[in-house]
Amino acid sequence: MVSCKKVIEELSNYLDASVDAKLRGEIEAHLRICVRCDVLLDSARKVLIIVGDERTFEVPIGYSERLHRYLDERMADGER
Amino acid sequence: MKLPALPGILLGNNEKAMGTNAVGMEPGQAGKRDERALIGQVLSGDCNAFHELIRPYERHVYGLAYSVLRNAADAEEVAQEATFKAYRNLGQLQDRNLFKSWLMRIALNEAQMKRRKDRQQLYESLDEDVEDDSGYNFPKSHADWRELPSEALEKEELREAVRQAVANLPEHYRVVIVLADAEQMRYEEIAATLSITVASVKTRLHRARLKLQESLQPAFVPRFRDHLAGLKGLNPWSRARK
Ligand SMILES: [Zn+2]
Repeated sequence: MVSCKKVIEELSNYLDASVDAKLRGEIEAHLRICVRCDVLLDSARKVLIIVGDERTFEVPIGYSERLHRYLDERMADGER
Repeated sequence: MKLPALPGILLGNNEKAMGTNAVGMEPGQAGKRDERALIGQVLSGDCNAFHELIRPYERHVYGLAYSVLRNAADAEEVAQEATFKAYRNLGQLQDRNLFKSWLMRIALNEAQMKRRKDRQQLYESLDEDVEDDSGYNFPKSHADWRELPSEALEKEELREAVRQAVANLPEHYRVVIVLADAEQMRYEEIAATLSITVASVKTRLHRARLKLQESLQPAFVPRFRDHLAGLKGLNPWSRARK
């Protein structure tokens, strides 16, 4: 069985699904008996969902239009 | 472009899965876009080709600038300046396959220059470039979200808590969290942007994710206790990110 230390070390890889099947099985067996690691991985996974939600780090409304307008204006100045 | 809410179905996850693409290419678009040809068009005087060239990356550029500056107006200003700088210096791009990471590096430099100019470095410099080893220890304390149903992850209040927690991270953690987990860029692209190895990206991201857990606890737990009580009995959380 893997240790808590090993689980923490592999947290990021586990969340990225880049641990092999054997290690994933061992981690999941550990999570069933270790509340502390289970809480941590579960929370980390949820935080990842929220960070990845595009509403969390949204671009301002009209950003793209302003960017392209800005470029047009600067390009029209002939600065190159 | 409005993307769906869950990372599992964001375009970015396909990017990560398609790890064999050359750094700087936009997977899924590679077939439709000939970036090298677009660059050639810009260099021969076609301004419109530049608009098309940067369109897939403009969100990443803003995200990167925001992660450094933590202010929307400043980030937008930097995104504009950096993008124009890329236009002006396009002739200096050595390898046309690397446009994306080249553009991102310009944005990073511009953002960091602005931060220094605004003298934010006085309180920022302390935590820069300190690769502590806290990633290999348990966070001192962290949130317990096990009873939080997936519906609650849609709450703006929760997004705000996460935004705050990310903003409180040291810059080198902030940047990697935003590029990897918000912008969903591939690790190879992040490595090229930050001029570090892929292994360093992974290490830094790992530590950043753990630090984020630690800093979320005080912000989150008291405010959501009542909310949690009201949500008991709803569907249990299911994994969305593979
Ligand atoms: Zn454990």
